[in-house]
Amino acid sequence: MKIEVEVTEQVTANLQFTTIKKLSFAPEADLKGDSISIDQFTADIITDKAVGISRWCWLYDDRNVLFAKYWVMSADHIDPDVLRLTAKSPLILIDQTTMPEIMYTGKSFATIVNDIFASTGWSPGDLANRVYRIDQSFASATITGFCPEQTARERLLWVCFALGAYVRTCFSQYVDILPIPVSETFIPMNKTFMRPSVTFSDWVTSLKIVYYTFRQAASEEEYSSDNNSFRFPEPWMAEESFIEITNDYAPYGVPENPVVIEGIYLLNADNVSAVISRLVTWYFNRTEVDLDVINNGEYKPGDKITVCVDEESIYGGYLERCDFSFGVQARSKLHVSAADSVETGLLLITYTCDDEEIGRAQFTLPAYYTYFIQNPYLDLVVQDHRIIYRPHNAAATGETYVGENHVTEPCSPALDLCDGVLEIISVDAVDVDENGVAEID
Amino acid sequence: MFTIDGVQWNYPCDIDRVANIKASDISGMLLDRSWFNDVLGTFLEYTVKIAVPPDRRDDFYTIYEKLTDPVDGHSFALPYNGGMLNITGRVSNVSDTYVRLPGGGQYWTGTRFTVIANHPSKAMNLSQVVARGRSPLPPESEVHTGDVYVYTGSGWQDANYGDADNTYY
Repeated sequence: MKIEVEVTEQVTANLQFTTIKKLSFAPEADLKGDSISIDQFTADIITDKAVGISRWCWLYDDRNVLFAKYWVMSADHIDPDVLRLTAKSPLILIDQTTMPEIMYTGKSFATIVNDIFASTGWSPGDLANRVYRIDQSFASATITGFCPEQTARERLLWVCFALGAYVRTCFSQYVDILPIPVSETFIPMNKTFMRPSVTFSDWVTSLKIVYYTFRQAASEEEYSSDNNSFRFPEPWMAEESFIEITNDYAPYGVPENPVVIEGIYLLNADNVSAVISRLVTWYFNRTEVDLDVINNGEYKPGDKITVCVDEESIYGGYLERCDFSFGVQARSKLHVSAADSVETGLLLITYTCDDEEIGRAQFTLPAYYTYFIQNPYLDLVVQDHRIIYRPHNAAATGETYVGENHVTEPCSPALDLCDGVLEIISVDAVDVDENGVAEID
Repeated sequence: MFTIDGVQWNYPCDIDRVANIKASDISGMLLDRSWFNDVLGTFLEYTVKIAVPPDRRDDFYTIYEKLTDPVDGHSFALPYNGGMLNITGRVSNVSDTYVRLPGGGQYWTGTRFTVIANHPSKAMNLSQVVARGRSPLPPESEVHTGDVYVYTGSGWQDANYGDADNTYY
């Protein structure tokens, strides 16, 4: 891993550190609307150099894949040669400013987010180029409703909650404001460590969301007689309505455990249906999966993923937290929330040569999953001969169905190695890499 | 023969060599029952048994004091296959035996020390690990169906015998 620290605005060459003794990094993403986490990393760096605080720093892996761009909060020598650096996502800055109460009447989401980040004193240039980025799907979104006085981070949470957005502050140069993902990423068994654990939270029996309709008060008496009244500068009245969904999957006899969401004055008749259908996923899917995977940045907090729990069970849910450990590669402990079991399909690939079976492989995959599995060169030893078979197709492709799925992949002999002598059986069957070099395992 | 911090010592010695291929703590068993080995690199460990003649006590004392210095490491040049390998390593232990003979003769013998390299002698970076592939065969442009190559230890040598009209047999 590598850490880069900005020196000053004027000096373009950043300080770089590659001798990192200890590193902790566990980014999160909350898609439920409870809070926006302030992610951080802490690194013990072997150096006698001093590093200033209140500046950007970057965490990269050895391939220069960006893991985080954070704000240096502290950098102290805990030993003459060891610098402990703590850097947090830029959300720490918007957590320190307070935004006044306000009534939004169709204000654009982009403008509100800009106001939120501008409250910290960032210049317009910094905001546009260095701090945050909004997904294009929110380009024309507007916000209507009331926000009380709150920190800028809470304001960001409210407006994201109202629109179905979430905030991710890792693997990007920006604070990314993204839509709740729809497409899933499958993490195969050969990237998942033994043994994932599945836990279940208590049943939620119903979900009720209170939403609001705003109108200007008819008189001062009406305004002052109601708690849901606001003045901007005219007196406004908020009339409550609610929408409620019962969990039909909760077994009979389960203790009543209703969840009520109220007091979010940005929820209105226009957005409440979308909000409740989203939250049903979170409150009614009570399964949580914890697992360790090889993760060199492929799986990020906020992703919708499907994971293998064992050879027969697959769960789909949202990746809420990735707690990283680093070696040459990276491994992360994933916490998957709002998960539900998904149907599985068993893919059986038979490798053949002249219609005779020479190998087979099997994969547990989600049903209706479009697979693309690279066909291997088969390396078989028969008496003194080591024969390399080349698959005719680069990959087995298709879609899985529930149950067993049988696929045949034909192969041809390419090389024959015997007593240190290599015979080329077919040039066409020799794999050639981009440098024009033929290769075998 | 070995060198410590640039000083060469030409005394008879036996050297045991161990190559430790170390993996990081993130290694483990995967769900498909294959082992994920996150290899950090190959770390060499040498155990050197030296025999300094009794008449070269001063040399022995110098080597002993150097090896037992409480420092992070020393630079060593030690035999490696057909040549010498320069490594920076930490001395994990030094041991020897004191012998006192009838009549007052005395000397130290059986001196041995173990050096563990601080850095891997072989390692792959993350890009190489991700892209790790297969050992190269002869360039494709030189290969014909039916060709025969012999592996020489460092590469493949064409073992075809072609006549003037390029007929191979």
